[in-house]
Amino acid sequence: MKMTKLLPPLLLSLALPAASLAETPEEKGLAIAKEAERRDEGWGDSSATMQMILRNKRGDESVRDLRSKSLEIPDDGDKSMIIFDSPPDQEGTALLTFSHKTGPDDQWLFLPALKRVKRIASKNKSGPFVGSEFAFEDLSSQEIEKYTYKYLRDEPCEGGTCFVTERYPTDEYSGYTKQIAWTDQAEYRPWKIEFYDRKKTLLKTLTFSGYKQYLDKHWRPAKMVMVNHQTGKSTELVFSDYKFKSGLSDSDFTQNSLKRAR
Amino acid sequence: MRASGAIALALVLALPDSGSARTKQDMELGSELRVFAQTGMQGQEQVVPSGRFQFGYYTNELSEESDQAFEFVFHGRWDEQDDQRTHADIRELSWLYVGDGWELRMGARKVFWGVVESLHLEDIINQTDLVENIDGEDKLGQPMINLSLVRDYGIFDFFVLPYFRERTFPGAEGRLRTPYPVDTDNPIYASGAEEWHTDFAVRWVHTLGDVDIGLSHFSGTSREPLLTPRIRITGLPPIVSDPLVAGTLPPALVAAITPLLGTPAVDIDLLPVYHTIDQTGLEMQYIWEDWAFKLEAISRSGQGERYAAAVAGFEYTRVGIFDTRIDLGWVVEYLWDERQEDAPGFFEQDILFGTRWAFNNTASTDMLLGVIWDPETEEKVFSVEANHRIGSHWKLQVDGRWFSSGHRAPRTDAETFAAVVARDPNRKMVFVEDDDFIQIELIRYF
Repeated sequence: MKMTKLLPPLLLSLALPAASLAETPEEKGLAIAKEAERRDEGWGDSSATMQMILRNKRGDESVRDLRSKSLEIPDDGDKSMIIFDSPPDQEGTALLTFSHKTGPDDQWLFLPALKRVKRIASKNKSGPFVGSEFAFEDLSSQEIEKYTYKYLRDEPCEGGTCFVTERYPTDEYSGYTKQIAWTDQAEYRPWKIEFYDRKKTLLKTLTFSGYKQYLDKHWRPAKMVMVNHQTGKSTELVFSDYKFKSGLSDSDFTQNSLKRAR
Repeated sequence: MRASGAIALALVLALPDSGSARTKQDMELGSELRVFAQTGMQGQEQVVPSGRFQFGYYTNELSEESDQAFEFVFHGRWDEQDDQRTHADIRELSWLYVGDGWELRMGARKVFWGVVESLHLEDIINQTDLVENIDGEDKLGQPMINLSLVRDYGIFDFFVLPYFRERTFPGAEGRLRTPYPVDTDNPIYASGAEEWHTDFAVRWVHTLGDVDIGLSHFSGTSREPLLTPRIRITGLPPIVSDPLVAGTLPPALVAAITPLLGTPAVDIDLLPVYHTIDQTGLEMQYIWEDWAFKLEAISRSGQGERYAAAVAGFEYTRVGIFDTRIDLGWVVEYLWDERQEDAPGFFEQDILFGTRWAFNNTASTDMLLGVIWDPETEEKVFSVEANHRIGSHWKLQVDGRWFSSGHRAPRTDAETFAAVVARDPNRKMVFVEDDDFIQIELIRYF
């Protein structure tokens, strides 16, 4: 009994080094993404409060307050809801997303003035999210299937030593031709992502900071900063009140819950 | 020190989840200026100031054990020109209880049904607050008991509506109105229970992949009244004709009244007639790539012969046009009403062409430009709606309408009377022909 239970991990540990010897950069890139996903699996549900600070070239600021809830769906993309608390003319506006590993997400927007739930076509996720430097695709559920990968090199980074990997969106409607991601080797957390536009020039850089570990497993940043190199604008996302496994279920992600999300 | 620290920590831990427990108050003040291209048919001013106040209170901290919420929204408007537009309403005064797979909502609330943009056929729970905006999207709070069930095969809503709200209409001094004013103090109800007739409604909505589908049924007092002229001639009982029977005024009577028009001997206004109806509604939406195909249809009985009406069309959105941040949407819808010429509104066989611009900027600037065109009568309504936030607590909202009926508005009492009596289906819009306007509202949020 005990032996058989022990055997598979043993086999795995024996197989790994052998596999990595023959690994192509593409295989290694994919393996890194898979390992990062494996390490974060099982978060169940989570919620957080976010402040979004939009800055233009001159440094003028505009602030939005949001809350988010997400539900892990093991065999598909996650379900999520984003609720706006400010600016006051948008208060109560809420966005419900059922993301999918491949193909477009299902998305509904609740407009509180009309009390209307509107299904929106979300095939093209390259557009900006509420006027920020984040595109919808930057904030959507990050699934392995959404990219192909290529490992480039190891490099020192803020999180110690990082794998530097290129990833290419599989979605033909993506606004990017490629992304370069820095992932630390100790905990497989992203520290920096560079986004290259359709003309293959550097468009934006996203940096992560203030990582904290939740439930002894899940690392989440306290801050994400997206800088647009072409316009000089930037958007800062500051997270607080992270909560995990607070008992959210499918019933918290329906059109009914969207209407009362405020 | 340590002990007090531990107590403080314990207190913090004992507090309810700050992420979901909320009590909020908010206020909105709107200053509006309507500018009309011409003086009104009845000599009304061209520039009309108006002001709006809204107060909202919301809490979900009613109970520690269960998920409950209370909401109150008060709306009030003052209008310099129209005493009927100066009005107040309780938009929301409601209590919500969330159970496992069900919700109970009680009190005055607002509910929206439907998928299309041009005309909200299926949307029938709330009465239209027409004096607010002629687009029909402002609604009065509707008292209700609403049970909502969430099941794997969709969401089911059951409504009991114990009290009816009458539609608001502009007063005699107001604009964008019918040729004769509507006397909202003397509505005619088909039901003896009048506004206390209990109405019932049920709706089912479900999502099947890329298709959203909805079915609804409403049984009760029509939110949409038919308007019928009331002619009061000194010394005679008032003449009120049946709005469902065209040409009920005998030509001899018309001929007799015409010379008296404009004299104190005759007074004409319109009465709203509320029939008891049954309305079945269907809505469907199919999402394919950047397209949303939409259909909304109703079948109504109780207001004359049973009839059907439908709106079908699509919305197509291009994200980031010309390498900018701008999203450009195209909206095309066909509006059809089985009653055709006998339909009381403008929309019996019309086409909407609209374009929606979302600038995706810090100010959330957006713009909706559209025209509804009747290819048979050549009636057209052009519309523009735009929003632009200024800072975080101000917003500028611009609305404009241009009416092109292809005919000039009636100039004399005799012409007006003839137009009302004749009910010319090709001239339904003629009474607002002179009411082209642009309206600017500056809103301050507190």
